[in-house]
Amino acid sequence: MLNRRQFVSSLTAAGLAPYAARAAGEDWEWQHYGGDAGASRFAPLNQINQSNVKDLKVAWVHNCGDHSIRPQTTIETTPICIDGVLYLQTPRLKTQAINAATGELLWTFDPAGGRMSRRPPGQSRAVAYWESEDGEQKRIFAPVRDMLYSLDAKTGQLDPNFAENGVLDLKTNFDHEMAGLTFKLTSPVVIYKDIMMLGGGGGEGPHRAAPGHIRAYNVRTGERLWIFHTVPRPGDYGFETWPDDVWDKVGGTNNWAGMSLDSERGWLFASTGSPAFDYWGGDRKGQNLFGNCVLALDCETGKRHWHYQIVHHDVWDYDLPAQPALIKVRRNGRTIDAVAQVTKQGFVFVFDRDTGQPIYGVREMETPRSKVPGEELWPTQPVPLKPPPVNRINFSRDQMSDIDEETHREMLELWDNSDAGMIYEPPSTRGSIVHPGFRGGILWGGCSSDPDRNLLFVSSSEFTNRITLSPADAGEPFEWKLSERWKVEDKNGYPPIKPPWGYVTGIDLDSGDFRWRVINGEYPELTARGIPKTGTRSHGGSIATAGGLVFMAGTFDRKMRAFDSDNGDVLWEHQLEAGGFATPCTYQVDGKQYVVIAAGGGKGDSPSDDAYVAFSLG
Amino acid sequence: MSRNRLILLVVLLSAASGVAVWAQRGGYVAPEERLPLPPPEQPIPYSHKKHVGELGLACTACHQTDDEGFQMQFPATETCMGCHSAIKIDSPHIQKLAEFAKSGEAVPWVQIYKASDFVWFAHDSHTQDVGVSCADCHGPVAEREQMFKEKSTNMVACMNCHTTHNAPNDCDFCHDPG
Repeated sequence: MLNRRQFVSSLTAAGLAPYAARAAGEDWEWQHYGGDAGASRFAPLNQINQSNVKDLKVAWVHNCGDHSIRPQTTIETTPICIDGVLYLQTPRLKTQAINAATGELLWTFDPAGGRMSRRPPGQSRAVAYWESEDGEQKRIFAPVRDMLYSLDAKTGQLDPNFAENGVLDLKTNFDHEMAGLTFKLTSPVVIYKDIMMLGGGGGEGPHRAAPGHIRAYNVRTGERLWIFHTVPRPGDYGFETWPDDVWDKVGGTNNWAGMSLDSERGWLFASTGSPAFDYWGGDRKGQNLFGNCVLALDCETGKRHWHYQIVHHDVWDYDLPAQPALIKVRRNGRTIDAVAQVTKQGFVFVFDRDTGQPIYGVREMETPRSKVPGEELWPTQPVPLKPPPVNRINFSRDQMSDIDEETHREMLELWDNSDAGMIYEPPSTRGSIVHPGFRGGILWGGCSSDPDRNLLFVSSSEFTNRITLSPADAGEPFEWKLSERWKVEDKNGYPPIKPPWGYVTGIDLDSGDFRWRVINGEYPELTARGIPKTGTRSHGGSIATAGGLVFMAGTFDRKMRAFDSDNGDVLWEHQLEAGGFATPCTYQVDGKQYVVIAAGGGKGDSPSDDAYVAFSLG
Repeated sequence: MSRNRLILLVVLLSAASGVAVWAQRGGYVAPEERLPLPPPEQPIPYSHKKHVGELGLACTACHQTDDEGFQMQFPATETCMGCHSAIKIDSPHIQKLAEFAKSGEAVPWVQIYKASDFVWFAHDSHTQDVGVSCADCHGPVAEREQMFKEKSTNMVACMNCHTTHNAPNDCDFCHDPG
């Protein structure tokens, strides 16, 4: 017999979130990183709505107590809410449980045991929750760099029956020689029945890096159940997309951005990053499956149902940067179970969830060849026919920023001394302008959706890199090395391309066209100079509610905003003390709806902080 | 770091190195630094040669890390006055020092070496755990009448030293690329 929470959870995981709330009454909880297991980032709550959101006020602030300004920390975590308790991670990746209605601290788990780490704490975008069918065992799974901790949800104590006294070393049992390599898990595990699945991996170079194989474990014991090799082994599907002799050496191809679950089908959806190293692929000629892919895997076996590669033979660091979002699309009078995958380039690919076929169509666009000796780029790259890209994908000379003459002159000089102009400009020895750059376009904030309105919401930015390759020195792991990789900015830290620089876009899922697009964020000092609102880059994503609202923070002006889902108008905004560089959550407990954002600063010129800020009506 | 301070830092670095402004921003291989930089004017003259080289004071006699072991601190004025309440009290510089001590105001020493806020560099793990000497990163301080930046502390210098000591050079060993 399912209890109420399990009943609601099962409906939610099956993509029936709106009906789940109606069946269960008023209260509803954000139980997963992406709201529901499928990461639709939609809450069927409407207590806070278009007509009253202007009255939203701070309900409570929880200070974690462990941030650092020098060196700076940040928080990228979205809290999850279970049975009236919020579970979150702190700037130094302690796990905390707090009362969701009051912010009162219930317990803290410190993976360092009180010791002060000398290394950066790493990032974690959420913890995950599991409870046994009889409700006796309730666990929080907290990723911290290369370890996974299983905690008693009530006490925060390690579960002695899981792995080694509650701690799973993710560098082990990985089917790869890990000596000298690092590993990190920055996204929560995904749990189907008693099967816990996780991604993660190493970096993407320019040194040797760990691969990103996807693994499943027994959620109770930590025993490994299956592994899906994201770099195929001899005899595996896709092995022929690499040279024969690199399968046990190549790295990358990792799922760092999180996975999503279709519990009705028993399918896991994962998005992968680029192979390593990520700007030169002369030693990995071919398409390089399963790099830069959306993967649909069977939760019970790890077998592949389908895959779709979004970048062939990536040399731009165009990792798939966010969870695949499992959504429903009403199109031409038919409802389709779909998967939306956003990309750093600013594309939104939407697939039929059963087949992996693009719903709006995709064309293979011819792309330039590399001039770097030994490099063989794939001649084409997929581009969706719809929706249009949510930011500029080309950076032509006439797009150079003109906010002042000096900036314009400097950036023109840079552009003229670079290979530049089009998306998929190959890395070169002269220096290449890569736009969108390695922080998007779209990043890990992903997308949110509104099933009633048939809309998808995406935040995106304009971000530009310049990268240069040069011959590697003797003894280095690759024939070519990065001699430059930096974000292109003017002397004041503004992007080199003409404004606008940040957007929120509402996409009509029936037509695949934009319903609306608005500029997101501003630099007050530019506004004061009479420059129209420019928008800013953003870190963190949006969430949508049945109240007809889209909430997000993430901009460099440190504001939290509520947008009108129907037209993008800003209906409410709140000045945070530090940047809210995370994705918010919302829930309703004891009849009151809250919206919570981590305001950890630590990016741009926002000082670090340690706050989780909750908002409610009165 | 505030936007204004960041701008000032970038402009100063650019002027010193003669390279384009944008090249100072986070390149994997940093532009060559034109070292040494001229010594900045300090509020009170201070000779490391006298104190360290001739009197034999250890660096840690005056400089301690913060509570977490990351940032090395300037000495509290009381530390200076521990000796100078009795030594060279007729010197106008020491009298100025005494005024700072009396007012409780910190001496506004000009920092020569500074890691960026986004770098996780802990002094104690380098000096205590690995045995890196102060001079490795700050030069022959005990010979210097005035301190000035003479050793590179950009990312290439860090990475070269990591290579020498067989320490990791992965991005997230020192940074949190979120």
